[in-house]
Amino acid sequence: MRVHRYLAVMPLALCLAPAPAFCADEKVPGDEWEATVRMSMPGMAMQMPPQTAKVCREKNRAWDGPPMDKQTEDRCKVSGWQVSGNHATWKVTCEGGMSGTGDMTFTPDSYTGTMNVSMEGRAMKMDLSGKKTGKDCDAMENARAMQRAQKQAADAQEYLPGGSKDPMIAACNEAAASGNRSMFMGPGAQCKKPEQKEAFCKAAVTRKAFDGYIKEAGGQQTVAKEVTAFCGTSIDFVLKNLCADALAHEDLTFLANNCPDKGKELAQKYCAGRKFSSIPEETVRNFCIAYAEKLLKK
Amino acid sequence: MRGSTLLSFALLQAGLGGALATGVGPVAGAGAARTDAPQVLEDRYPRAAASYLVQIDGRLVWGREIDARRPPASLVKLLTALVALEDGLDPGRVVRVSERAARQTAAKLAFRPGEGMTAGQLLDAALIASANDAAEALGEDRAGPQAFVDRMNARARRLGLTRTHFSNPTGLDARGQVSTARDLLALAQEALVHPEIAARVALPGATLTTSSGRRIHVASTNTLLGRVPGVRGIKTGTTARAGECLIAIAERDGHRVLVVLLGAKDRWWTGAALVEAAFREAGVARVDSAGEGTAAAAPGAPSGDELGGGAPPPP
Repeated sequence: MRVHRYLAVMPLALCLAPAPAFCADEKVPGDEWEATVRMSMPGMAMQMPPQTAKVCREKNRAWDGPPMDKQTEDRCKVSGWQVSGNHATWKVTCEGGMSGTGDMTFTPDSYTGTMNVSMEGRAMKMDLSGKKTGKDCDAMENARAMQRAQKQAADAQEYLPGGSKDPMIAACNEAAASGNRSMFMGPGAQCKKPEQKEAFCKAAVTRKAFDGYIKEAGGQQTVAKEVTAFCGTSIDFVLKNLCADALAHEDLTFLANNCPDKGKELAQKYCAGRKFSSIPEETVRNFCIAYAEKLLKK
Repeated sequence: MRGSTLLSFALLQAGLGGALATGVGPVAGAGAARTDAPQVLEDRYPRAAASYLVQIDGRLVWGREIDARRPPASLVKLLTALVALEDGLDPGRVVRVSERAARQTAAKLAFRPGEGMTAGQLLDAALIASANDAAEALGEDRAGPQAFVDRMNARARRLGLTRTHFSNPTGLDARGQVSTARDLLALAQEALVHPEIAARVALPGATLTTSSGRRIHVASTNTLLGRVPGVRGIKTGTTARAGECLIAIAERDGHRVLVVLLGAKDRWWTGAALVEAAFREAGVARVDSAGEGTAAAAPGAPSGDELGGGAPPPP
């Protein structure tokens, strides 16, 4: 029943009027209204229960449109709005070919009215009523809530790497970027797309990722060997490049963990002749310890 | 008991409370070290020391001349402490330092003859700062100089230290004072069974007070403490004949490494390198941050720890 399903959104969270110009943090004094919509369809024996919502409407705001919620506003176009005394009439045309007319009578504290709409030959009547509850409220709250919800939805969309809407693709992209091998290698591998593997292998041969594989294997090269083989290269080749890179950047931690024999010049610079207790920097000390180990083997 | 209070406070500073909670501290008895003899060990680090060994999780893995007799220097004080404690040392009792004890050469607290200190604090001084006058005073107090040495040797025999003989409680070079890397490993393991020793050798320092009110701050002679993650002690030693000596214990991720160095060229760089190598062998990755006892860089830290250099080292 498309008509019914579509119109069902209308009574919910009625604003009772289009939202005034929105200022994010500004509070707009409002009156709380209790709005009720009762729908009925000709030929339907059973009556649908009325739907009621508490809504906030700016104080003393003139009726410049029918009481519709924001979603309905977005989907329907009101035309021919006419006010005569305390009575208003209008026409409405909505997406999907639904259209109809409405009228309402209002006082400062209440309103009653009807909307008759039809789509594909099927008609529906909505009895509208509303009254002030006597409570004050912030007329901007609904708009703010809606903006928050929209922002959350937008953030959630942005969270997915690459703008992807598929969580699995997003997870693979993220794993690739960080060199997380568990998503790509082994029986539990879930990321199989060639471009994802390419991205993973690019990240896997960085010093950071490589150091992670060494640590994962308790200082051994077993994991790093598996990864480099998976990426179609060899650990010797990768290590040669990474060590040269580490040397160029004076990455003492990487040199200490992976290629202390490459750091002779740096060892002369940082370690030679220095007392063990005179090196407060842990990174330098670890590098020198690794270099010392090499010297002890000779 | 002032010594105990100081010890408890310093224990917290050194992070030993956590260490004890995770099972670090006293280790299994020395018996295990004797059962794996004789065996040929890989001498992976021939330049480490005249004699050295590395034990990982109770298994000897690397070594050189591990049964060669060498002067043990102040590593002897582990047995001095062990015998004194097993002899019923009362840590709160004040011990008067004799003229003979006060005459001991450095390292020392420079007691005046007749000056007193609690036995517990003398133990602190002997184990943390390797003070010879404190070790001698402890020995004299328990049994008199020679009788105490006899007890030490008897205890060494019961421990199965077949290639060891001690001539004094201090470890200063003396005729007939010899041990081996293997025997000293066994001694260290036995000593660490005693919480009174395990706790003290892990301390970066302590403040001691003599009976006359003189306050003395002593720093640990163990430079690895607080600089190499997981190191929990245990003892240093240096004499002209022995060279640089060290027994170190370290624990990481449930793995335990013990290193013994006798006659090392540079025990700190060497000790640290062997500890790291041993953990790597055990499958434990290098620790990037000490995360413990980092305040343990003791003031007045020992010298002679240059990489490729060497000034006179501490005891």
